[in-house]
Amino acid sequence: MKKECLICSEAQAVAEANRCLHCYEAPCLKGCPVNVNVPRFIARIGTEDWKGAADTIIADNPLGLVCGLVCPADELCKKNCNKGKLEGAIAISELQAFAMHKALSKGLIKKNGEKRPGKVAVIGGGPSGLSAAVLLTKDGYSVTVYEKQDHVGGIPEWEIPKDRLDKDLWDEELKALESSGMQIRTGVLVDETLAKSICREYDAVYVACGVGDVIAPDMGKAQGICSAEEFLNRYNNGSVTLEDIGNDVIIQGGGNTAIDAAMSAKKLGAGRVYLCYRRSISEMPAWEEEYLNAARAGVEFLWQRQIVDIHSRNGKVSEAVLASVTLGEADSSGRRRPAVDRSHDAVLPASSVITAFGRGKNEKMKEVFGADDYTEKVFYGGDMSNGGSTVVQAVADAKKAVIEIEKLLS
Amino acid sequence: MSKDLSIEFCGRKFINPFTIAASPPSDCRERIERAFSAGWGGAVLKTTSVENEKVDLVYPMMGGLSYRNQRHASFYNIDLISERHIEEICDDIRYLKERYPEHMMIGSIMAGSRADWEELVHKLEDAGADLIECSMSCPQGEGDGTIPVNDAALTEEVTGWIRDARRKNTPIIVKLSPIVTDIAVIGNAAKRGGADALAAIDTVRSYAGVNLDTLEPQLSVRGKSLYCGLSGPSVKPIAMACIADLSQNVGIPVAGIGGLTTWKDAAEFLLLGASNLQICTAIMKYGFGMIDDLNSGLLNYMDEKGFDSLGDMVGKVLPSFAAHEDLDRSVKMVSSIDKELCIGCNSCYVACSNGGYHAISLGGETPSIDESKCRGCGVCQSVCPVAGCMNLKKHE
Repeated sequence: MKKECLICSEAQAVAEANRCLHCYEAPCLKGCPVNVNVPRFIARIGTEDWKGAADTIIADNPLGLVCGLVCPADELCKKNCNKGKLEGAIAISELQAFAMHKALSKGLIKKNGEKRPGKVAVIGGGPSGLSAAVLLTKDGYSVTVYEKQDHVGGIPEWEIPKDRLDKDLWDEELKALESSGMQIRTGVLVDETLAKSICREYDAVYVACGVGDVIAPDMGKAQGICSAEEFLNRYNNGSVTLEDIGNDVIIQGGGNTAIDAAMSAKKLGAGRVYLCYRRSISEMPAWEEEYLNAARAGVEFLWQRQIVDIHSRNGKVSEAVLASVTLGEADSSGRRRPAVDRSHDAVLPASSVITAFGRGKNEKMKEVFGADDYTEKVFYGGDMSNGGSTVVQAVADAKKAVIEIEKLLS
Repeated sequence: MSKDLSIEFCGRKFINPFTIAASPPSDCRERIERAFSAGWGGAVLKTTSVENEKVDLVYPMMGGLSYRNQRHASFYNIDLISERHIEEICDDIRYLKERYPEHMMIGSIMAGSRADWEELVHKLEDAGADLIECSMSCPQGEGDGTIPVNDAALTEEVTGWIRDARRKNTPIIVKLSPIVTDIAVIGNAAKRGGADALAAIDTVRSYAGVNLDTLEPQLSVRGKSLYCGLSGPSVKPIAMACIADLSQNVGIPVAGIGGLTTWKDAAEFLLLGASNLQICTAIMKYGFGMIDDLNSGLLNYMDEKGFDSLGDMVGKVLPSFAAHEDLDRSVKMVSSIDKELCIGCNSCYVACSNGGYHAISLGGETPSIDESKCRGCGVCQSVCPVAGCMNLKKHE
């Protein structure tokens, strides 16, 4: 039997669901940032009540499918699963994704409720914005989503590589969200003028534009240097090849985006993919499962190394100079302070250098919307207000904001 | 959706058929309040008796049936009726009927004499019980070993006393035991006696097992034990047989009890003739919150299959019953293996070579079936651990 994912068939899903003990005060439910009633949806999978399972998931998470596929479940729902103390934690996120896929593909998702007066604008069509839009639409409000790209989706659409997030499954959920009754205006960048008129026209505004600009330090003008975000964007829409990145790819960064870039470079066929992180493995912010997947895929991790210089030949990247980094006292984040030490430089051949330093804060949109008399009807959430976190956290932020918005509108 | 789970049983409208069976879960007012708030349609209070009846419970009184270390299959018990007598039960009925008028309160009674039966019936009726269930069927606890429901004449006589004691026409349910030669005979006796409905089944007379380390019974009360009542999923097939038998051969409403755990069990019981559904064991495992899953699954099923009401489902599958000699032997069926689902455990091979027709052989990616030898007996399908992997198909 083919086993590319943990749950490929109904029989597997039902068998796995029937391992669940349906604990009272279940740790899985408590570990979920949006409090999906995990024991209940698993009980319904176990009895093949597919619509019931999906209804339970959607009741707390309008993005149940993508979260089931990309959540760091080992750190959330699965972490304290009581079955983990016996033969093994239940495959909770896989079950969630499976149940959502089943319900979506059979068209079993509930219709909207009664229409009510009240217009809400959502700025940003990523996971947080879409969640808020769907929740408000289902409760009967009129919602318009403003999205600057030519289609909605946010990070799962533009940045999470297709190998980590099956694009067909994401599309299935995205299409269901888009057709839930909200208005979507793509290709619209909201500036101060438009913001003012939106604030005037709508009864409430939810701003979820994501994190700020990519932090891309100046590493020179040679061809072959780019940010991880840009690389992943092009990888996802199929416009980058092995020829573009070459055989020696060096990535600087220690977060999940850096790992996504490393895995994507490996998938393109790069022979040597190095990931340099200036701190050590114990401080690395990327999820453990992602690190393990990358290590198995052959990504080479260089700890306490930082790119300090890039050599080029004929305008193209040819080598990277990696300085050693010593770690001193812990800083305010609890991680040891890095200090570059030039006495142990290593020079590696490089055909491309990819930087994954994250993104800055999105102060711009806060300024755009923060003016004047509209502050009580403007709400923020998602990466732009939580500093850049998971998809499920974006959903949690949206849920909180929707409660406030609905209070305001009633 | 505008569909609901309401169903009529003996002229009473239940908001849904799910009723707590006469058992520990229904032996406490606070529990029933929680259940009703959660949405259960009704409750049969744990069987009560006259004030001076001696009810001497013993502990431990319950255990989980273990099969290969899985203790979830069933429970067994040596419980008795409620320690709370009729006055306290009637207080509960009055209290609960006032606060939960839409939820059905069923009083369950057991007595040793005609006068006692009459007193219990009068008091229950005065308290406003919606239905009266008569317990004459627990496998344990009867001193002289005579349980009325083992004997048709006794059943008819005792039911007659109860019917004659009635003053307000409250429907009478007689609860039956499956350990009889012919349950329909007992059912018809109860009907002649005046029963308005039957409840099937009570727990199944069984034995919990032997602790091989201590050489004591599994359910040991300081070294001694006795036969106990088995409940939970393992008794469901027995319950279903009794529900179908009574539905076909007696003709009065049947309350189905026995291993009911999921909405699928509920659907099966309804399709076999039950119009009320009682649960105990599953509540002790999953809590009253399970009503949400029961309701969700059943409603979605009704939608999917096009049933407008639960009443439409009652007894729908009964026409499929046939005598053994009338079953069709003209079509040859053979087994088949779905190569995509097969996990290669070879259980089918073991079953067929030891209890089938030697039609399955090993050697390929999955076992293979020789259709000339296969008779479609079904033993392979029965042991296959993957649902849907093995199917019978017509032999071409």
